[in-house]
Amino acid sequence: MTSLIMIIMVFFWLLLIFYSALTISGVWYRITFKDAPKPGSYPSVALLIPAHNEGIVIEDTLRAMGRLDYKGKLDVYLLDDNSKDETAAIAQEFAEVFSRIHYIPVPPGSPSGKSRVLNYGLSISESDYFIVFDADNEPEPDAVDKLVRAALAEKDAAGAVGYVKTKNAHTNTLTRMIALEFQVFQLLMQCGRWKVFKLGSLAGTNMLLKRSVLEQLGGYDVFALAEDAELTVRLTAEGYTLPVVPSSRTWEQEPERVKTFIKQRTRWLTGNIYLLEKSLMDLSHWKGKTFFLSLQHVLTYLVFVLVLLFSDVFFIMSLAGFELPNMDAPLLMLWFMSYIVYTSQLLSALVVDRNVSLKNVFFVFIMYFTYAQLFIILLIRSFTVYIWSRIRGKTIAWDKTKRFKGIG
Amino acid sequence: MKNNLLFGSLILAILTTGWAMLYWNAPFQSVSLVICAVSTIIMVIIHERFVFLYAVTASLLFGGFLTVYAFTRQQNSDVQLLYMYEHLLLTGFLLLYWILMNSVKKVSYENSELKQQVQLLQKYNGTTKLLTQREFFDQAQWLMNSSARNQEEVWFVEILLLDRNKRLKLNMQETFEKLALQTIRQKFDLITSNSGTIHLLLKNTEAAGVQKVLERFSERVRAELNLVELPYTIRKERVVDEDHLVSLSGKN
Repeated sequence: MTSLIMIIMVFFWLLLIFYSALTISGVWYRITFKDAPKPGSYPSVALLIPAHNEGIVIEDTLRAMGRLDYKGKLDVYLLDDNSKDETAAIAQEFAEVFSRIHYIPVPPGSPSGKSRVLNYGLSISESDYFIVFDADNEPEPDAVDKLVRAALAEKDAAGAVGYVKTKNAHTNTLTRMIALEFQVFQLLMQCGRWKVFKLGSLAGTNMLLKRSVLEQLGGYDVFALAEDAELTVRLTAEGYTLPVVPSSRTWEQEPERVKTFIKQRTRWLTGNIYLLEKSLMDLSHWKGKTFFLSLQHVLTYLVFVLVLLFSDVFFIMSLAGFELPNMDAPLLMLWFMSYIVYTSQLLSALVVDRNVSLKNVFFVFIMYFTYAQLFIILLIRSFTVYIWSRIRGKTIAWDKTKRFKGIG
Repeated sequence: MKNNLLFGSLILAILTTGWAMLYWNAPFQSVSLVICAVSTIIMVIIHERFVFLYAVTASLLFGGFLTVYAFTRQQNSDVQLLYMYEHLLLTGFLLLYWILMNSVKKVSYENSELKQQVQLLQKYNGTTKLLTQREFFDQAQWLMNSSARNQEEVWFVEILLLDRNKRLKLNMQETFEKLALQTIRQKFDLITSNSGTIHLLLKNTEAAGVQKVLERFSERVRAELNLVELPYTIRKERVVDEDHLVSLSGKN
């Protein structure tokens, strides 16, 4: 028992040091960041928007796409994946008037999901680069321009990734916490990791890629539910980089109900478990810089949640009056420091994104005890879903995130 | 008023935290006091962008040190609890100080920005109330356009003061400005000055008219000064358009 606890303790230490270093590096990257210079000529870009029943949000999305300010050739393709609502009608209305917007109905096929739709979008378009936006996204007018500039300026860049901001952050407690989580993720996993390891990861939206690179890699993996994470690993394994551009921003909607949130995150986590399995089977996922990506996967989706579960069990045991084994380790200090590191990350994210407010700071202090705990449930649920689907030999179906009305 | 309340509360909170650290005999009291003292200086010196980064780094490093110390000395829970309180006090102090610094610098930047705005809006210079350079060129644009439409001549005159005595320089400049202002036609011609030079823009006149103005000016100067040789040189030229005016005045 003691040796098991000591192993967990070592992980705990590693996590604390690793995330502290990433937080500081991320803040450093953000405060010293400058946009890449303007190029002499701009490459052509195909903008792909996979859409399935997006009638609630698509009008705002296409309006934002119309406002994009890009000096090169830019074509927007709305890839309609068999929508049954008014998505097609709205998109066609835009396509009839604006020459850069194209409505593309995607033929039915299997397996369902974003990867297959994106592969189809790439097959019907021509451009030097392509950029992906989710159907609820409203990028800022200079978002594409800034990504292209960064991709052209960085050696070995396969593209570039921008920032994702939460449009409905102020709707309720859940959306506010999701927004904070996004800020932290982007500060640590994007900016921090880019600064330390020159590693960026595709975020599924507001991401630019060179078409020739994806063709070289054989396109999107249609079985990957977290296609962005899966593609990141393959790109990194090939030696490509993905510069992070915090000034390129898109605004997207996040789940407003716990049920929707759990469904969305289960899909993400299941996708990451698929990737974890792929990484464990494929040794190329542990070479060079890919090692850090894969290690981080294991740390984030396995070790972090297990350590969290472990600390909860200890906490409940001590509350119930059980005598804890003597571990020769300052448990209390470790627990306290994990809370300090977690809170520092959130606070840093608020500061660099310039949205410090009394309410946000209050949420920062309670997130460890509330939102972070949800990930235990999510991981258990995701593992169950994944293992069950493997036993039955079935592919997990793509589960589209529900959209919400009433945000500007 | 809002800022006063904020600054007051922050200073009070910092003093309370500092007092607690000073009088509460916790482990590593002297270490945390030294960190606080050094940090108050460092956070003033370093660039505003790095102040928060410094505060977070200091807090994490101190926490790391306490954890390692507790581990190596096998401290019990009661002592660890004291370390936690000590860390919270130090972190609280650093963050409060960061907020105070941030707020003070914000007010200072706002103040500089407002001063710049006021300078932009100002039409007249300090003592002699000549036009500011910006106002001179704004009004010159309108003057040039209306003169071109009426096919009138516009003349530019530069009075360059010769360097004589550093002590007298400012008074000489002000005297010349005052005399030049009295010489030109009020609400008709334009006048501005820079260090050591005075610029005039004379509307609807010709070479002979400009000469008369300059003679009037030299008479006034002679009446005011005891010098045999006048301490300035004159440059005059007919202005063709706005670009010409800019090049004449050396603004480009």
